[in-house]
Amino acid sequence: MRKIGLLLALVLFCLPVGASAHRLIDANEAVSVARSDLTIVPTIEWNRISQRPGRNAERWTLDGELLNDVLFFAEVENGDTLFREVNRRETPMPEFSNSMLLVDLPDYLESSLRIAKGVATFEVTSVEPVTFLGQNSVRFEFSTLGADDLNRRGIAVATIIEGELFMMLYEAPSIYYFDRNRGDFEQLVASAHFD
Amino acid sequence: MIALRAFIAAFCVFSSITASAQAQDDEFKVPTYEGVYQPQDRDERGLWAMADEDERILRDSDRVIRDPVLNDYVRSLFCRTVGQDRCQNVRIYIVRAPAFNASMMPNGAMRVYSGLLLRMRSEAELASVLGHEFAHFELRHSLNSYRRSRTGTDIAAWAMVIGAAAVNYGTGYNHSRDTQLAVYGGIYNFRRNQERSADILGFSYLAESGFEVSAAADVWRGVMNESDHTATDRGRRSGRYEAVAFFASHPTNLERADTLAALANRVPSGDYRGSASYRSAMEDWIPQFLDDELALNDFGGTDYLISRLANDGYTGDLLFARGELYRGRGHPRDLVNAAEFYRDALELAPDRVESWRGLGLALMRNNEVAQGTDALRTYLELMPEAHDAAMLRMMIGD
Repeated sequence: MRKIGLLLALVLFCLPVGASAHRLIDANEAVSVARSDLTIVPTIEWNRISQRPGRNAERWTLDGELLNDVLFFAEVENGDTLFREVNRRETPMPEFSNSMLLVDLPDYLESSLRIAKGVATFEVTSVEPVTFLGQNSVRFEFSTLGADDLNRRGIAVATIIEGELFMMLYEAPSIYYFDRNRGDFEQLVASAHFD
Repeated sequence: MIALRAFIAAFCVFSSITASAQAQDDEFKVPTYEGVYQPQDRDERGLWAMADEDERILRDSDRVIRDPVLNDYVRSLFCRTVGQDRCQNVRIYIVRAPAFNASMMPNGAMRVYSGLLLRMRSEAELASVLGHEFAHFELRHSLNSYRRSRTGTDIAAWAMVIGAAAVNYGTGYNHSRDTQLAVYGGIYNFRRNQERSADILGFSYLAESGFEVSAAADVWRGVMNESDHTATDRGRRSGRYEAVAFFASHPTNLERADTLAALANRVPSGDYRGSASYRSAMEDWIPQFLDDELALNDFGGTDYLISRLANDGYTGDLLFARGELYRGRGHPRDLVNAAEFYRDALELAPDRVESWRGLGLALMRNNEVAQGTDALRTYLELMPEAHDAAMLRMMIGD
């Protein structure tokens, strides 16, 4: 009995390794993200995680998304969700509404992150108006306690253009990682434009 | 051979408890407590070792609410329910999680979820849940379940751990604690006959400590109604309660509350309910617990929960939360309702200035710009240092 269990374990463990192939994003080359016209020009190399977190989303990282998680959301329309459903029946993801105000976006992100990532606490620490993609936008910082009991900090920059949500997000452990790559994320935000 | 000896030992322990209970004329007489207990055989020592490790992680977790006043309150209520000698063997951890759940590990560590504290309306209701969980512990049900399911669980547990690891590899989120819980969940599932003996012992604690026992049935009814409202709002059939964390390890059905009510009729009930004292103890925590609940995207369930808590009348906190809930869903009719809830909240609790913010944003989102601007301006006058003040000033053009 035990041998069958171990064998099953081995097979299951080996399967996904081949299935997920991530892609290197080259430095100093324009790349469009989240299946949209949103274009980024990174100055350092990033890794793109092959599995899309949502229909209108894309995920980049340097050391793995638990240590530095950069998310792009583009052209999110009325009724879309930020992340793929985890359990549509019991914990459906909240839908974006094109009547939302910019100041409503922190609450919307909180609900999405709690359900998608199992975040236990989410606290917004600052919300301010900025210009992003040439539009009036909102930028907010937050801190979270993850399902893995790790405290993280995050930054989000978002705007709504003709009823569609565009957002960039950075989340990393508050110890060491957040400060280390904060500047790299700011650079990505500064380089964002439409092609 | 070891297994057989272990089984006989467990059977003797179990039957001595039930036998001593049944030997009394009164079936609800609380048996004499055995005192400090140590695991007896290999199975039980293994189970305790897992629980000890789990508790070590839990003890250091940032999800545990450390506030001494809240912890002392819950502990004193628990001690009052089961008695001083029993309560000394239990460590209580209040976990911040918006779910109706409480669980007891076989080594005597008890998890109480903040979502449970939020849903209770009186000390008697909380005592009924804590007493029921402790009864499973005193009767050592998890050991019996563990033994029975062990052979089957070996493979299932491995498949679950590895399966979850495989999923984690793809998404990168670490749900390892949840995986562990899922495996334990399989082990700690309680059977119907265990439920029944735990019910009887749980009621015995309540009766002995003078609490009103009908509270137990009220709790189950409330939680099942909430689950029904969640289901109906999401357009599916109600009457299934697997989504309620507590019921995942406790079998239940529609008749359960009625069964409990029938049982309650036979117990010599005390008359202490403790609604007012419970409300005042939870006063500072309700806003935070409600806020956690609002992020769950469960309009039907949360709306029912708020109205159930408002059974004895709405408070400013409850009206504010209801406003946030309706504003969050954001249909035009919701925004009209939300504005009304915020206005009512301001009448009951003018100091709860966040209601001005909610009112302003609900009106703005519904294109009532002039009135919305006034409300936000009032909020900014009262809270010039609010964390989103700059954003709100931009919105109203100041």
